[in-house]
Amino acid sequence: MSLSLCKVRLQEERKQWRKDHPFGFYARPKKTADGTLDLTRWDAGIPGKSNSLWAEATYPVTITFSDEYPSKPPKVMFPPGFWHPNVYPSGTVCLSILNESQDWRPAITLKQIVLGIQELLTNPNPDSPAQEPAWKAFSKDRATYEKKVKEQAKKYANAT
Amino acid sequence: MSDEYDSYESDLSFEFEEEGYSSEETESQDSPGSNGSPASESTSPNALCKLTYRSFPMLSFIEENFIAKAQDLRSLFLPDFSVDQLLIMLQYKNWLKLEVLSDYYDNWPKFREACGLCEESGHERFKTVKDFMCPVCCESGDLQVFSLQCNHEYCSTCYRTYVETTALHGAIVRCIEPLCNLAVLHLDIVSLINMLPTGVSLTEELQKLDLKKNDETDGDEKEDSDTDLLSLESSETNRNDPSPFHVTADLYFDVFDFSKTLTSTDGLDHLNDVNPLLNSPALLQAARISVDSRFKKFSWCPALDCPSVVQLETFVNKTDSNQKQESRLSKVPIVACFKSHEFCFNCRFENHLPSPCWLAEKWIKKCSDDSETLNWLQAHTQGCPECLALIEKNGGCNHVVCRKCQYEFCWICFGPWSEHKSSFWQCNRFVPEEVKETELNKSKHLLSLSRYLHYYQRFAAHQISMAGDYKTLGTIHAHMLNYMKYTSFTERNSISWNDIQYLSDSYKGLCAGRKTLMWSYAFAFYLCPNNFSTIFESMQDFLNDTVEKLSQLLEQLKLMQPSKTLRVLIANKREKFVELTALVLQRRRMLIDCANSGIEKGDLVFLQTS
Repeated sequence: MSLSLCKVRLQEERKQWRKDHPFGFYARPKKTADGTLDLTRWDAGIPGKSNSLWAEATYPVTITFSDEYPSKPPKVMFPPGFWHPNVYPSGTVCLSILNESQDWRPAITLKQIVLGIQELLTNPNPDSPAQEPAWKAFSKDRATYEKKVKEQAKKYANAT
Repeated sequence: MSDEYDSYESDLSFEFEEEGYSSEETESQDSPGSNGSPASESTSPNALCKLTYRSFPMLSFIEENFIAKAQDLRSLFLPDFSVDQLLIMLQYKNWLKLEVLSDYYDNWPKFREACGLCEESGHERFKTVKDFMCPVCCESGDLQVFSLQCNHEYCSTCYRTYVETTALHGAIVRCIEPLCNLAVLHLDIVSLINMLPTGVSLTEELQKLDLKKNDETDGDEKEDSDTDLLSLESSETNRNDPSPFHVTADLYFDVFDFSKTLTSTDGLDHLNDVNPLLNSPALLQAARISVDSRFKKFSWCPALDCPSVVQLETFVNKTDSNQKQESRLSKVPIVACFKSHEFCFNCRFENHLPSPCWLAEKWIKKCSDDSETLNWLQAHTQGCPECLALIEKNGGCNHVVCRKCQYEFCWICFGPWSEHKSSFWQCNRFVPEEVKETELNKSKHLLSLSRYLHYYQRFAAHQISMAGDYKTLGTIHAHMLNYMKYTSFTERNSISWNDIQYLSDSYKGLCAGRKTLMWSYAFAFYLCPNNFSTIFESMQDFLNDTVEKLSQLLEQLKLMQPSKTLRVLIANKREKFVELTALVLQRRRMLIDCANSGIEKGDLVFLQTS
């Protein structure tokens, strides 16, 4: 039986993740209706960096891998309406390592992706805005921006 | 015999200007830094338009704009770098030599870092590593890996896929390792792409095949010629070495075989052999971007898969919105690509003379959108009075039941059928105003439709005929080929390509005539009828007449079978062909001149309706 390159690679990603992953993060493939694992769709959680506005919360994302993975990057989505300058209104994350024509390389691992997104949370990139409200607040009205971020952190606060 | 071969050859070099120029180009490339312009300037096929341009194959574009620049830099300023490295620097700086130099002298380590170049050399790219696991495909075992000087090893299959996908972005291809900035040089890209599963490069393999073939042909040549002769109808003598015919025949066929689909790289294989850099898909993509981004000066040939580029030498103002109705034909920038496809640089469509650009655009839109379908529907159908579904009555009585909403109505008065039951045929009563309106409306639509169809049918007929002429010429060539093969073995004074050169010229003339006729119908469709439009139409008739005569003549030749008399026939027809072709071209010019002067003097007026 020969599995597709995409499946083989995703299995390996899962193996590596279970062996070792950064503290506070989680990532698991979604279950399909019949109870099997769908390796192309993952639920993951990204903790905000401690000592930042984003701390004390874990933000949920879904990661979708196409059949062309790893030639093409996966799509990472926050819940719709997520407050961040580089997240589209739909929730899609705008990040250079997730952009096929920018810095995506087939060897980028799941771990690197989630760490990259954690970094993006605290350090938004004002040069490539993806939504207007958060970007405007971030560049013009920092107080409102921070207030909103904190509100959002409370919403996604860790249960503990 | 040898005399004849000489004459074929000289004829060929005349015939194939583009081939000749390509070989010049490759020669000039041997001496680094010679940046002579390969394609000579041409003037617009539109005699009214003063426009000069150069046209050349895409690969020449790469050689001239990319490789020659790198060679220049190497020979004049930076001899320590390879052309390949300089190409990366140029690509990083958007192909601007001066910027490369200024950055180089300003801060070389920083520039080198940004380009992703490495000072080390001699790194072994392909290796086989034992017990290797590729981080991308997770394959493990004794794998062939590829790496740059940075030693980031990945299995060569994954590397190749990565390079192939990334090359399409047209930017510098970097090492596959995340965050590693080292550039993959174009020669490395080529060797990855050409790689066979075993790791032997394709070029090596091809070279081996070539050697083998040469060995074989030395011995088998005689047999080959024998079988060739057998295929001819009657073989009398047995002479050796028919190979010059194979060569000439194939090349000659190319002249008119422009419907042959070409991929972006082929058609110029002889160039590929010379410089492996030209095989790099990344360079090809960079060229595409470079041409597309300078669309005011450069254009692709819009013909299907034609790999040629046209570069304007004179600046053409693209028609602004405020002069949309620019009707002067002297403003139509017609150019011809190196495969002699004529097109308009402004609208990137085929040579549409005598129509001005705006008219051509309008006509194409009209032919492609379904406005005429609407016209037909309006003329032939009625909307159901209830649900408005369109209904065509193709028989039966006037009691119509709408298939969609089941509404019953009378086809004559559009009233509900229930009213008709008691007082039968009440709709026979004449109500003058109503009838007039609908009838008038309908006949107006019918008239406009038939007027459009009249011009469109003529436009399309010539388009179809052009394909027919092309087929006919193909058949004639096949005959000629057989005949020439045959006579070269039997007669001393056989015909040469020189003798039938006129056929190719006639075909070109015929096509030009038909193209102009096609667009003259589009032109006439938008013309206000007046005395001057009648003059234009009679000029059109003249051209039509001559074109048809020429086409007929070509058709007659097709019916001939290869025989000894063919040569006499060809010689006899020659005069007629040449004469008619000249006439077509002259009448074509007159038609265009007539349109032009009519527009400029204001004698020909366009209809203002859409």
